[in-house]
Amino acid sequence: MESIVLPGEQVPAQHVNLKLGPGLLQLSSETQQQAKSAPVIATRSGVLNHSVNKSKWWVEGNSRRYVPAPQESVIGVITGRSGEGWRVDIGSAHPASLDGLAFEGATKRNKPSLKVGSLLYARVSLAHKDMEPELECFDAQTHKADGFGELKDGFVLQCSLQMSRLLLDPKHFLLPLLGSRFALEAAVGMNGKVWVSSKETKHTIAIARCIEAVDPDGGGMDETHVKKFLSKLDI
Amino acid sequence: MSSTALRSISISCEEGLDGVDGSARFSFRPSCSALASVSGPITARLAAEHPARATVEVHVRPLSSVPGTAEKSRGMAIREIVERSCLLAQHPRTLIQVVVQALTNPTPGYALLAAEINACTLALINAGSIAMRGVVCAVSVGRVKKGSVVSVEVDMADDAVLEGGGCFAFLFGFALSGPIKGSAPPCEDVWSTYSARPGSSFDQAELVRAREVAREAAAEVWQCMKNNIRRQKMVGEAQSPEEVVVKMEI
Repeated sequence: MESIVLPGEQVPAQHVNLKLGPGLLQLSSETQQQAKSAPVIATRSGVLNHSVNKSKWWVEGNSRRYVPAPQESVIGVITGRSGEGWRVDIGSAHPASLDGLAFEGATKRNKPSLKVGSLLYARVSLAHKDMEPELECFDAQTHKADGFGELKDGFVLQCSLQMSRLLLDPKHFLLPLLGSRFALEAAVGMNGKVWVSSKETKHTIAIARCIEAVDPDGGGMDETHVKKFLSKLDI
Repeated sequence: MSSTALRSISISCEEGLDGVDGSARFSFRPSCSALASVSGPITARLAAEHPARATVEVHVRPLSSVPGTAEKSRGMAIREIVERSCLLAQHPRTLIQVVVQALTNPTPGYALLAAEINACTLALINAGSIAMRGVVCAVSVGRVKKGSVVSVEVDMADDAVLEGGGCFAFLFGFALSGPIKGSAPPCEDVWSTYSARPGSSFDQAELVRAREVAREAAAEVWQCMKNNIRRQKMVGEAQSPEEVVVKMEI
């Protein structure tokens, strides 16, 4: 079922309503007729996946460098002011900009008190390859904060992008397992950054060690081994 | 002949070098080995920014002493190859930084260059953040006397007696026209160099023969890369690390 592809390899993706996800590219063809069966190639290495009805195809690969894409939640650090807004570092090639009013219930007189160095959980609202990415701290449809905004206290650690996708998957074992041991608050950014907060420092360190161990980049530990690992830690 | 010539290829992408986005090590044989690391797309200096595509910077470092002219020329060759194999237009105004470290001493032949090109390709694949249109595989070939058979450079002893040789890099990808060898996708000659040492010479027929020999060997290199990556991804899911005894003292 799983097939590993290398960049440049052809992928048998054909459907009336074909949707190509990350890692795939449809080669341009000269005529309209050819466009229906234009070949699709992989542009990164990874596991080739498709939806059940074969209309959605994508390549699941791992990387460490974040490339912004719209509607993704990311964790950023404020690095400076720029006019009415802020300059935020989200780990991409270009710093992102966050408007000063892009918060729930913000008006000119009532702006959030952010400082250089504050942590933010924000949503990428614009990510075009030719422009700087833009962030917003509210949900796109409801315009409510919904968890976005400043993150106070806690600890940020870096992981690979595949690990952050795994942590966001509700079926993944790690966060529920850790949450059952101690009180924990976590925010996962799709840019490879995870913010965790718990009452005791040693819990925070244990969480950080577990995330690093389960990261596919750093060994990819499975559930039984994580349980054994946790039992050896002095918590 | 080709299948035994390249049996000692060794690939390792589990370097996990810190501070870079991807890294890999490639060696044709223990005496010809290179390590490459890739970071990108990252912020480019204002002077090096290109408005429509990513800028590629390649630094080649020799095993000993400071980088010199030979390293600079290998760096230029590698930069041209990387620019042709990556889809740079998807990341305008950014930088892709490639650093290649030779792990063995250079030889008069082109084997080290071929190993460096392969290591760069593997590092780019390992990084996963830059879209690529194909995989570049390079091999070095050589011949003993004018008119004799061109074969893939196999070991150190060959280097001493070769009187002519070159390096050919092929881009393996679907979209290209070219004969299919084995299970690899079609490939296109993307960079080549061929020379005869002082006192000898070569003709066009020899160059054409050399390219064909190199094409077959490059398909084998591609297959080795594919096998290695497949093994890595499969093992990655079922790995169980050894027991770790940890004592936390806060």
